[in-house]
Amino acid sequence: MENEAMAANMQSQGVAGEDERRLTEEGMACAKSQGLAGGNVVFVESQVVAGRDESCDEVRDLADGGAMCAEAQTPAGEAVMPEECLHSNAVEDADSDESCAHEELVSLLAQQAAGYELLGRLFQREVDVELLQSLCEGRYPAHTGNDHLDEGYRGLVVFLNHRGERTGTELNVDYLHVFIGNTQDASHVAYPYESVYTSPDHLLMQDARDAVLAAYRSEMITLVNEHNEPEDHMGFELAFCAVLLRRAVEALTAGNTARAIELVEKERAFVRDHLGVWAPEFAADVKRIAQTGFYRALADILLGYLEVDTATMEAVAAELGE
Amino acid sequence: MDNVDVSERLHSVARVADAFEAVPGNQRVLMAVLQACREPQTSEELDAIMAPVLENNRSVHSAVELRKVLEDHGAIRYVKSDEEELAEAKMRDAEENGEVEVPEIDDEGFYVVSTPAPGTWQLTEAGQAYLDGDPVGAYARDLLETREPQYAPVYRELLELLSEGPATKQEVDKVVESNPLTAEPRMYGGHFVGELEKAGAAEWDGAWAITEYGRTLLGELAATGRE
Repeated sequence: MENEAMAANMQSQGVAGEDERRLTEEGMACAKSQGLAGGNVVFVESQVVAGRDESCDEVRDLADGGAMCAEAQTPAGEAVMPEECLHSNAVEDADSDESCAHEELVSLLAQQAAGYELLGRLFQREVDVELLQSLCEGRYPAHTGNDHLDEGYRGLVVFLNHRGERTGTELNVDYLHVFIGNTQDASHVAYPYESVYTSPDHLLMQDARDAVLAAYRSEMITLVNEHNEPEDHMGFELAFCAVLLRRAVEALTAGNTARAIELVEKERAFVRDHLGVWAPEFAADVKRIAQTGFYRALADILLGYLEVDTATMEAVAAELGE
Repeated sequence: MDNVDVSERLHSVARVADAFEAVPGNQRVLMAVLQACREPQTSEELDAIMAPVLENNRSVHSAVELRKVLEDHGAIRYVKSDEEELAEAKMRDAEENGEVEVPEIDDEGFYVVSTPAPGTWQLTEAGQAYLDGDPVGAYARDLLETREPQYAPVYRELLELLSEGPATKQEVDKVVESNPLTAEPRMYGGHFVGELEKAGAAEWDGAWAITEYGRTLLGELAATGRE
């Protein structure tokens, strides 16, 4: 992939440049402060050893992902990928170009993962004080080139700009209202499970859940979930994408391009076969049901992020395949 | 007309009193908020005032929720800052004109997440009238003159114990249970110290301790010889 194309992809995500760094930091903050590192809702490496010879010690991938996130930045929090990497001069030597492209890919994948971690966290459970503060410190581009992201970021910032001391409570109430439901009328709840959206009778624990579980297991990942939520919860599916991309970063850093390609392809397939299938209808329901601008904005951001990620990962796959 | 005003005033003060019934067990912290709001206080300042009072409180209500209870009962009101007023007016204008509100964008093309100067919590007229009615003293008077005058000696003994220094639950129980007045019907230390806490005369801080008001009450009990 051309560097310009990569840069354009990054810009179009709406999490580009400084904002990517912000999201990356938030991803870390999420993993650390929101209980991911504490084993609240995490993936652990499964005891299934078939297909891989790595140790099966329990690895809390999301927490580790946060650490990898940190490695993708300088201590000062600046992106590893310098501006000149995006606009490298043709006269520079080939080794330098290759090194820049490699760093660029690692940084891009880490940033995508951080975005997925943050989104996953936001769908997994209510926003708490620390996360709300973290969101207020974020930077959101006004023009990303993606309509959903533009609308989502605008709505999110409008909501944050009108926050008050009861905002946290309002968000908790709306989370309950939207995703858990305080009504017998199923049409007034956006149940965050793929099975509900893809099974004929809109039931939990259907084929989609089995398929998602198989995808997790293919990466020797087991969901450790104190809430006993089905594996096809939106928050977990997003977190799974983050894990795949974190592992791709790890593979690239270790020089294992083949493994990185495998992981990126898995992520693309997962988005195509799962998130991409039900997220649009789910997001529409969230927008219809939510009482706060926050969750309406989150629905837009989800859609925009998946759209941009699809394009970005296609470009990344092409770049890795070269 | 005056009668109507008086009636409304009494009703509004009664609503403030209802706030204390709405969240039982939070008298101290609610009173702390009311007292503090005689002067305008930001939420952050009130948090700092409420935190130590809530430290030993098992209430499920947060400081924010307790303020809302007082606000809902007309005891305090939130006065927005100029910046908050401006932001609200902007939102209102956008809604009225059927426009989408667009936040400010900085030079680098990012939306600005603003943090407007905070408004302040202030006592309402009803809240002021409630405080002026000496609710703490009224509770103690009701307790000792109307509801439980027969136990005034027990309360006095208890306050004397606490005035000597913080007392454990066992020490409170010992004083109460050694008094023949509590034998039939059987009464326990928890009841008496609980009532003193509601009256603002005792507080728990790892042990039961007398408050400044408690010392005043003890003085009154001793002076009037309510035994």
